[in-house]
Amino acid sequence: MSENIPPQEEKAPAARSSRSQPDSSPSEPEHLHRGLSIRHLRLIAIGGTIGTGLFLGSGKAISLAGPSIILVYAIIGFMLFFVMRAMGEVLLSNLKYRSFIDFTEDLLGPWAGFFTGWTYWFCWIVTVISEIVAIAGFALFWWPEMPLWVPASLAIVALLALNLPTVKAFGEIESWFALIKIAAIMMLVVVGLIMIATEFRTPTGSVASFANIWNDNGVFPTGFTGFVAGFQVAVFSFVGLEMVGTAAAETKDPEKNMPRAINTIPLRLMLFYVLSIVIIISVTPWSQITPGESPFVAMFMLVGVTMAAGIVNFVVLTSASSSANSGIYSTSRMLFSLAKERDSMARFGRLSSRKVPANALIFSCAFLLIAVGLLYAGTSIIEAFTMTTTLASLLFIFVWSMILFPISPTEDADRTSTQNLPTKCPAVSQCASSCWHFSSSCCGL
Amino acid sequence: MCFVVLAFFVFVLWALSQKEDTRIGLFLTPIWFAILGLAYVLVRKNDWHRDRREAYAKKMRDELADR
Repeated sequence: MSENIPPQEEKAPAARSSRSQPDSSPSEPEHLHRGLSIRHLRLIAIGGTIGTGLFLGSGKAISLAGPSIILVYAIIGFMLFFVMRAMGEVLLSNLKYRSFIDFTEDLLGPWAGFFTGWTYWFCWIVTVISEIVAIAGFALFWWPEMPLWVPASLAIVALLALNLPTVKAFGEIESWFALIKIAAIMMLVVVGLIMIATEFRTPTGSVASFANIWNDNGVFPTGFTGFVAGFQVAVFSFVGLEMVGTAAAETKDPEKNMPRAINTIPLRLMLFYVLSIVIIISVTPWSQITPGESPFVAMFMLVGVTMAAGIVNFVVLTSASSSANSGIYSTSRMLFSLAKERDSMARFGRLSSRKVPANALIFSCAFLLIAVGLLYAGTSIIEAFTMTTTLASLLFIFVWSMILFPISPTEDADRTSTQNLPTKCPAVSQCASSCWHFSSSCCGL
Repeated sequence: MCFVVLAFFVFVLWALSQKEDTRIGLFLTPIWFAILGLAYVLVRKNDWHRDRREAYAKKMRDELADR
């Protein structure tokens, strides 16, 4: 860590707030954050776990894996929960660390900081590109005649316009986005439960019932290959989960907020992912779900209220915009801290008069234009979406692995030193051995 | 536990190589790391980075000496 950069600032890429800094004067230049309240952070962290991967990608995931997709989501969530706990432990071990980039750099060496930092930047660029592809797809619901470049370009301009003014604007809009997403999932669950309770009959003649989970050719209707294929699509739903931890690291009291934020991840994943998928495939048997469509919109279409489907389409559009919005926010901050570490050009380390890293923001947004090209390169939107989401998943897997590496060699030492932290899971060793058997048997096949 | 998760990631990588549409993404990833590696070779030459590497190497030596 260099001496001329105050380690307390300008580091983390994710959402930031006002961890109090008694020793730094408020008039200090190049000060990025402040303006995000705890309420913002909390909603962003909850909303950050729900995105296009769930709203749009789940359609394809269900059609590939059938009901076993529930298991796929649960397994990925379980694995990533441990990545987040590992991250939490290392972040708390030294409060100097503001994000995982800091500790990879400090523990693995400057090269790791460079690779993790830039790859994380690229992760979000690719993710935002796929969100924009999805936005263009959602826009077709209302304007099927509109050329695809129109919604895509509009989205890029809107992102720039939302992020240039102030950090506060970002926080406010993002927390509203998060609220809308949570409300949509709750609505889906309630409406779905009513449909199941009233034994709703779909136009194809099937009856909404929990039995659809196992009655439509069993839980693994597409066999082992289908089950594996589910992982390809489902991993993308979890990108951005690491923001839950880095956002908590930015709060006033990370020792208290971080374990809480991380330990509620499983509950959130159960509630948002597992529950909503269970409801969807109970109402509509999995084999009737169209891969290229949002099953969330489709379920409301079933009710026969086009109005409701329109609302849900608006929600999924919002959620894509929201992910894109936080993605752009993260990339510009990432570029800013890379410039501070002199891993990227100095001009990206400058702030505009409104304390926003404007150069970094514009640079990142320029890359999004690739999305417009992609929409015309492939034969279908879902094809472009699959390609970019795969790339994003792979890049995120690299970053998640980099988060794990610092504790791999010293795992035992870390475990004892952080034994008193409330991030411990009681059944770690039992879970570990069973899931080890699972992974090794899969790899052996 | 983290080795279990890393093994799981390897499994996901394998899963991604199984289908045509996800394989394109898999092939694109090395290109990114090639670009990044090239950039790092250029960047690491400057004094600032050399100092940082030396500072890191010193820190590691000190930690080893402490044990």
